[in-house]
Amino acid sequence: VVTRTRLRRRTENRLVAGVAGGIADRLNASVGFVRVVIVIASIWALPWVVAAYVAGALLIPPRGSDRPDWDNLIGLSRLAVLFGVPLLGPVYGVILNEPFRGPLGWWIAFYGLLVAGGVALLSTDYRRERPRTREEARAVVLAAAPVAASLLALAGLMLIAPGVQWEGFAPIVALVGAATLIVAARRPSPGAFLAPAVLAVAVSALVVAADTRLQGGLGARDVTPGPSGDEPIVARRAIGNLSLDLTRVTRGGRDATVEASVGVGTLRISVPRRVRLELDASVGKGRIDPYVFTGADGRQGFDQRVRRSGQPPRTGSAIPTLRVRADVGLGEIDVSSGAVSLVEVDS
Amino acid sequence: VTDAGAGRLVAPAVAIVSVALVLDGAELLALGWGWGLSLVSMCSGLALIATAPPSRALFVGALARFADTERALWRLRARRS
Repeated sequence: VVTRTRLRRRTENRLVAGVAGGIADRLNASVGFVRVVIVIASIWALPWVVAAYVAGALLIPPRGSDRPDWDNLIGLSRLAVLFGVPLLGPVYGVILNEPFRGPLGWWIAFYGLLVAGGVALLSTDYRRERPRTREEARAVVLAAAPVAASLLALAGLMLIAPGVQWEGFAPIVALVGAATLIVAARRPSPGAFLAPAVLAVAVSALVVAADTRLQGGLGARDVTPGPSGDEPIVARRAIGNLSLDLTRVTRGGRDATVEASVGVGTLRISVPRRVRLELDASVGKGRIDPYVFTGADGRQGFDQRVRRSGQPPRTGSAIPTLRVRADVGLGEIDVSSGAVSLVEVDS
Repeated sequence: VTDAGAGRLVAPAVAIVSVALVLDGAELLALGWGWGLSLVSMCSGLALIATAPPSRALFVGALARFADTERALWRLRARRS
């Protein structure tokens, strides 16, 4: 006998907000099948799938109720953390057929912690047999609020005052998490305070370990500077991608010095074709692709640095020198130069 | 979650690590990746121990939560019959 139930979100055996389980129960299908369909659909249209899931979590009432509850907000916040972390894409992106530089233990710890954190975030409610009571839900929101507020405050300060180096203040987020946990340890159930505190420590440790420079504001930015005389050209971004088009800085045959940094994100640098390039690039964790040089390999790993000098082959007359100091904490540096590759010379 | 474990084990560990990170932020320490990853691993491990199921059979951390529940098995049996 095939029985069909009304469309209700699952309150037990769920990963995020119980939408897939609810659809599976309604269709009398396997929840695994529904989840696989959602994952495959995400490959083509991730934003639409996320929007549909959020709408489902907010609109479909939980089983045994006709009203929305605290639980779906908690599930959605967890989803936001899970989707927020991979936004740091280049930090986690690796190329399998290139050497993994840095100690093996660091690689295992970095990706092990990432996978364990994802599994823990997803599976927190999986064996829950009933929705949270109002008090339990209030404890969870109360536990996450101080850490979330301090992270948002730090992001706001980075937007308001882009000239300040904010990385020294990032560990305060960890301190807020620890203080909340210590205060909560006296409460009857401090368990809910664990995840925000550990997450805050992990985020702060990432910023500290990678020597991330959080200066220059948030969001993607394209910069095309012109010749600046003897002054060095400075371009920075705290979090976000920075595209630096340097094809005009050596106009008139003048030398130029460029200092560029990205805290978390990708730094793309385009250099002019006829130039002698002196590159000094370093990343805390991520990749450096100095493909502007003939025969250069990419470097991926922890604390990587590339120092190279090069110029176009068969250079007749004198050409200007371009000195580039590029620094990325967590992310990627990509240096390219149209169709011309530079041949390495002694610096 | 064993709440006593959260208070006794994890809170002091997280507090000590946070102080170390703040000292690094103030440029009084230079932790680097080795110390950074070790300290985060220690905090995560303690949190995992504090939240692990009490039975030794289920002591595989958060993954144990994916195990079949009584209800799921009941549904499977009902469908076969």
